[in-house]
Amino acid sequence: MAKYTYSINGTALSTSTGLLTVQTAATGAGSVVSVQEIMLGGEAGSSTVARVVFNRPSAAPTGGATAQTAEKLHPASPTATHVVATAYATTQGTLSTNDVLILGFNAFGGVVRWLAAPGEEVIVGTQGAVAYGILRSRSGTPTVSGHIVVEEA
Amino acid sequence: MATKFGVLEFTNAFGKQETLPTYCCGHCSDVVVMRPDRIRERKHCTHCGKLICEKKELCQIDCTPIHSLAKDHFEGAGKWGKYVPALMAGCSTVDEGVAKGLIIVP
Repeated sequence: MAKYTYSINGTALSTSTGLLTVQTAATGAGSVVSVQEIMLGGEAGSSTVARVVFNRPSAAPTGGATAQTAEKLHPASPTATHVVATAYATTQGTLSTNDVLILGFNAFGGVVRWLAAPGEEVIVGTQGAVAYGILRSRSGTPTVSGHIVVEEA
Repeated sequence: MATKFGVLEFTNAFGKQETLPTYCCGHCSDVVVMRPDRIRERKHCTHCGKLICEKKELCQIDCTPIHSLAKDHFEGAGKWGKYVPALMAGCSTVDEGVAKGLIIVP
């Protein structure tokens, strides 16, 4: 039950490429990841819509993942076996109609943070297959910073 | 019924920080932000006792205790895990899940 954090450092949002994509392993360690916290802060110079969503894609991304190195919240934690990617080489995932979480805010200094109650986290994982959760803008492309915290089951 | 809630902190239109309670649907783990002015009772599953969302057909028709199943890596989920592949692939309805081959119709 190791926890990891991934950061977003002054990244311009895109409506076609995920800010971060949580990708589980198909089986075994890392096949279930629970998202515990998502925080974003806007860095726009004027009022700008940022409608960022966490979504389970209806079509999975393809190609090699550009993975971000996991930061362990405890130094004794094992190396993460799931992947959190900033992009995929061939195609990005297609967002499904229904969002898991919508984080709408004004990126002109606005901040949004969602924190799960213990045992009530957002689950990414499925039965014997790779699962994805994409953090991506549905509307607006301002620059944002923030982080997500996940736990690998 | 769940008694612990998550939180959503955000900057409102006037630049002030606001906090609203949230919960994760006990069947799909989607986040539901709880409006303080809602009068209608929240929906909960009579089987697992968890609060559930009201936006997905898949969450209404049967119990899928997602957090308990996830603890076991969805192994041996049996009938409780029937809708897990569809829910985790972003499906909202049975028809969507069947069309994608993620729900097997007997």
